[in-house]
Amino acid sequence: MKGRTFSFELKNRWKGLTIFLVIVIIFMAGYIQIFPSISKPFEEDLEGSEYVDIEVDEDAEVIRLDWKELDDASNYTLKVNVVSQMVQPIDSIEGIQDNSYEYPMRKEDGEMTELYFAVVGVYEDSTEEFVGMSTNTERRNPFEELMGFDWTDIGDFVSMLYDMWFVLLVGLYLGYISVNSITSEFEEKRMDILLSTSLSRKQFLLEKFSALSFYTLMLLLTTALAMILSVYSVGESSSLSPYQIFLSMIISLPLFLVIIAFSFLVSVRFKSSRIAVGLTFFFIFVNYAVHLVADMAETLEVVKSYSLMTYWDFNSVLSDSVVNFVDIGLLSMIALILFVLAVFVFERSDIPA
Amino acid sequence: MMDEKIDEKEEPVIEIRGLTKKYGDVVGIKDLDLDVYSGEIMGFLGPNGAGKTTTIRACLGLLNKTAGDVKIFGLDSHKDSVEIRKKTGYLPGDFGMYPDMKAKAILKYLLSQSGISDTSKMYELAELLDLDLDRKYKELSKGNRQKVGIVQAFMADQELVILDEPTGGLDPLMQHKFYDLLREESAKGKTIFMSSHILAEVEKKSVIESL
Repeated sequence: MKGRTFSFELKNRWKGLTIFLVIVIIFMAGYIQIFPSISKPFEEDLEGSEYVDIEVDEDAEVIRLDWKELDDASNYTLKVNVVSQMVQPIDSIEGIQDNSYEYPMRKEDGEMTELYFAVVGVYEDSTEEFVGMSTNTERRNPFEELMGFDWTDIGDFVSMLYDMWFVLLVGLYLGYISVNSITSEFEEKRMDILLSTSLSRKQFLLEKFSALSFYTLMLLLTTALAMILSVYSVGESSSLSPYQIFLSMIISLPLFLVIIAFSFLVSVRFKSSRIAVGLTFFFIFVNYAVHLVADMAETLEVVKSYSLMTYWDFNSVLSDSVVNFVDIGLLSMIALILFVLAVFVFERSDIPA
Repeated sequence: MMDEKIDEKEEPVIEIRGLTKKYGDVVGIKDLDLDVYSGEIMGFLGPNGAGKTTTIRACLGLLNKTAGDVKIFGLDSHKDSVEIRKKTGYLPGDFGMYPDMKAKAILKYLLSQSGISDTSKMYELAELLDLDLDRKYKELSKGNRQKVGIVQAFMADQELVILDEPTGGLDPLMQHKFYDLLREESAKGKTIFMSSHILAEVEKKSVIESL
C-alpha cells in the first residue's frame, strides 16, 4: 500500500533521527553563540589599525600607498608579495620614514600584476605593530587578505561552519542512515517478506528515499530556525538576515539528496552495509577533499568542477542573497540520475536468501 | 523429477517449464518442470541444496531466471510479480523482522502493505497457534518467530500460499495444529505449495533430485 513504507521508515527511526536533529541544532546555534567572543578581538585590532589606502596611477606606473601614522613609530616596513600570506615577500622595504610610499607598478604581458602590501610600524625598541594590509585587487579587508575570510563578519563566520563541519556532519550521517535503511533489510533477512507483499521494488526505494528526503528537509528547516534565533540573540540579524539563513539551508537539500541517492545505489548493488558505508564515506570525502584542495590554488579550477560540493553555492546566498539555480538544477539532476540507476539495478538483481 | 496425478484439463496455478538458475558457474536448479493446481497442497521434496528454495524464490520474482518460464495464475513471475504477490502469501525459509517491534505491530504493518485493514484472521491464526502478539519479536523463541511467519503467510487470505520449510522450529503439537490449518485452508480452495522434508505433510508431492 502506497505511503506505508514512507511513514514506517520515519516512525521506526524517529529516536535516532530526533537525537541527531538536536545535535545539529545545538552545534549550529551554539557555534553562532561564540561569534561575539571570536570577532571582538579582531574588531579591536581593526579599530587600532586603519586599512592601508591604495591608489593606482596608471600614467606614472606607480601604486601609491598611504596609511595611518602610528604614534611613536620610528619608521615603517613595507612588505610586498604576489600572495596574501606574506610567507616570503618578493620585496621588503625597511626604514620608511613617512606614512606613504610609491611602489613601482609591475606588469606581466602588459597586465598589471596583482600585489599584496603589508605595512608594519617599527618602534625605537625594535618592536613591531601591524598597521594594515591592502592590495591592488578588489579585496580590501586585511583579515580577508590574510586568511581568506573575515572573522568579523558573521556571514563569513557561518560560511566557514557550512564548509568545514555542516556538510561532513550531516552528509556522513545521512549517508550512514540511508545505507542502513536499505542494507539492514537484506542483512536482517526482512527483504523477502517485504517484497512478498504487493510492494514493488521501485515503490520500496521511492518511499524510503522520500522519507529520508523529508527528514533532511525538516532537519534543514529546523536548523535554519535555530540559527536565525541564535543570530538574533547575538545581535547580528542586520548582517545576516533570516532570509539568507533559510535560503542557504534550502539550497543544501539537493547536495544531500545526491548523497542519499548514491547510498541507495551502492546499497542495492552490494547489499552489504560495510561495503556500502565504506563507498558512501569515500564518495563524500573525495568530493570534500577535491573541493578543499582545488579551492586553495587557482590552477586547480578545472579539478574543482569535478567535486559536487563546488555546486553547493551557499556563499553567494550568505554574502549576496543570490541563488544559483543552475547549480541547484545540476545537483538535483545528479540525484535523480543516481536514484533511477538505483531502481534499475535493484529491479534486475537477485534478492539474497 | 517426478509428478503424480496431474489433471491436464485444468489451468495450473503454478506452471514451471525448463526452469534453470545459475549462480555464476554454480547451478542452483536445472531444467525443472512443475505444475501445481488449484486447491492442492503440493509438497516439494528434496535433499538440502537440491534447489527447493531457489524454485520457490523464482516463483515470487525474488530471483532472476537463467532460463525457462515460471507462470503463476498465468502471469510471468518476474514481469508481473506485483500482481502475483497480491494473490500470494509467502513464508521464507529463513526470515527476520524488526526486533524491537511487537509481533502485532509487525503483522499489522505487513497487512497494510497488502492494502488490507481487516485484522480478524490475524487474531484467529495467532489464537490457533498460541502466539502472544504483544511480545517484541526479539523476545520470541525460534518456534514463536516461525509462528509469526506462518500467521503473516495466511493472514491476508490469499488464493495461493507458498511456504519454505514451514515446520522448522515448531514442536510436534504445534506441527499437528499447522497440518490442521493446511487442511482447513485447502478445504477453502486455497492452493498451497511448500517445500518439506516430511512426506506426511503433503497431499501431493513433487520430488526434486539433487543436482
